[in-house]
Amino acid sequence: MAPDAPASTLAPGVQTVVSFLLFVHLFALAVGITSNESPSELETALRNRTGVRAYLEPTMMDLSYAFTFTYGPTTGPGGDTQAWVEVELNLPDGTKRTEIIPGTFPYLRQRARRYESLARRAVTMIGNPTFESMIPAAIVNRLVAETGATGGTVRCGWRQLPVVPFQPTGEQEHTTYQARILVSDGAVELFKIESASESAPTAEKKADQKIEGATP
Amino acid sequence: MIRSYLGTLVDRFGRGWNQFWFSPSDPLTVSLLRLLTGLLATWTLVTYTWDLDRLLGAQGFIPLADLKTLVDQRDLQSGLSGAYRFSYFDYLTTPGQLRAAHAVSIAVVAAYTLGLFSRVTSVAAWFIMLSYFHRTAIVTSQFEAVLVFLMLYLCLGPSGAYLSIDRWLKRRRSPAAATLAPLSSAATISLRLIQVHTCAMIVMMVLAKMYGDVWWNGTAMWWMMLNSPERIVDLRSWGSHFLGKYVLNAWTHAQVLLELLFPVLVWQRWARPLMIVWAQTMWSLLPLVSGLVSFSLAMQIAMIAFVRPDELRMLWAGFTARHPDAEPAAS
Repeated sequence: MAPDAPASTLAPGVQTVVSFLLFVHLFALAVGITSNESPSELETALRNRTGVRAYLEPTMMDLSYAFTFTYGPTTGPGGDTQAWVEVELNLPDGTKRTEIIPGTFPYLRQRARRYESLARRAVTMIGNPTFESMIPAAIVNRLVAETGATGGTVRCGWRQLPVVPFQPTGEQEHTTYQARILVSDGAVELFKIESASESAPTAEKKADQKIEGATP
Repeated sequence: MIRSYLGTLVDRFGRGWNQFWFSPSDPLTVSLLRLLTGLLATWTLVTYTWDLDRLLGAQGFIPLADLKTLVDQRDLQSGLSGAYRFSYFDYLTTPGQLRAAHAVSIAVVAAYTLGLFSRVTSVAAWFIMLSYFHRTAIVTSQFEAVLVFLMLYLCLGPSGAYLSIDRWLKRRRSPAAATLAPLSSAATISLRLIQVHTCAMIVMMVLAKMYGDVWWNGTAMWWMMLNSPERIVDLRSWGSHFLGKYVLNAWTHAQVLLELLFPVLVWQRWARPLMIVWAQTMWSLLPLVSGLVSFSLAMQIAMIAFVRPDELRMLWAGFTARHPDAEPAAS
């Protein structure tokens, strides 16, 4: 690194091989980074057909690194606004228990961030009939297994943030998904509530009998 | 003339390439990076302890089938097909297996942090972190992406040469061993890859910011406070004072300017110290309004890769002059 640094400690042959590997790595990295956000056909082809994905995906370097941290005012759940999943459970003893994701985790921000991401992922999929109940159903299934709940309600929503900078007023909460939880014979079903009416089951997940503590 | 130009170009490029990647360097910096990334990785694993069943369990909040469906869906939207993400948690089905694997994982990453069998534990620790992050791919964020590439590149260099149990054991076995570890090309390769990757990441970060109005009009820091329930300080009220607005504007502009200048100027000898201090300051301040503590720590660790080992030794010498009881880094 210094101008008067001694010669490489690697043998010339090894150095040649390492140079080749560095070229390959940097090429793959460049393709991986640039092929995430609005990729050209060339970038997509390079990523798919040159083994780049088989190299970058296992190493978790197939990312765009386009970290903006904030998009500012958001008018929908797809931005960086706060999202939540609320599960209200009817416990066997007749009481109710409410679990909200993300919860609060003082001093453990990494935990909080994971649950924030989970809630955001759940909310951003709402409106897609194939996927919208996937995460709520998984969350409910787990919580029913943990608590032995006999029913309840699950809601997903997001907070509409102010649209005028420097004026922190006008926050609104929107519930964008709501479903009734039905537990019978070891199976957990979600019945999506649309306005005042109920639709057919949107998700059905068989509770695994092997789960410790699971109560049919 | 063209042949002469091309010959000179190839010759200069080759010499520059070799000097950049292969000039041997003191492994002190990679050793310090191993210690710091290890601490961060160990803490990350510890934070999973409360959520093993919920986040990593086969019947948790992210069932394996759902995870694969969601990841495949994301890939298909990007015109990609198939996935190559391995995690040993995919094969653990009972809570007991999860707990055992988690305990072993923490032990291995702790050994890496302490520099025990560094050559082996560095690779194992990287693989372990990947397994956690792949299994929870839909709840990971910026931080995990940075930690993983730091750990990968630290596998390549002699990161246990200093500040490690390996070194302590070596000196115990052979008290006459040299005080300084030998210079190493592998240490240079490791550092250079971290530097290049970090700069590429910062370029992408600033390009993404250029799409957003809030990074142009100076309100991004305020929005970040508003959007981040995990913020450490709440300075939103500053937005109602003109001076506060100016401070938030300046903070936003300083972040963008840093990300614009850093990848270019950090390679300049005269500008590098300024860039490093500026970057460390900005990454220290960011979690105050965003709550991105782990990400900011990872970025601060990445910035250390730009500090030359002799500069680290000078800093350490200054520290030991003030604290005579402290152990010197090189011994």
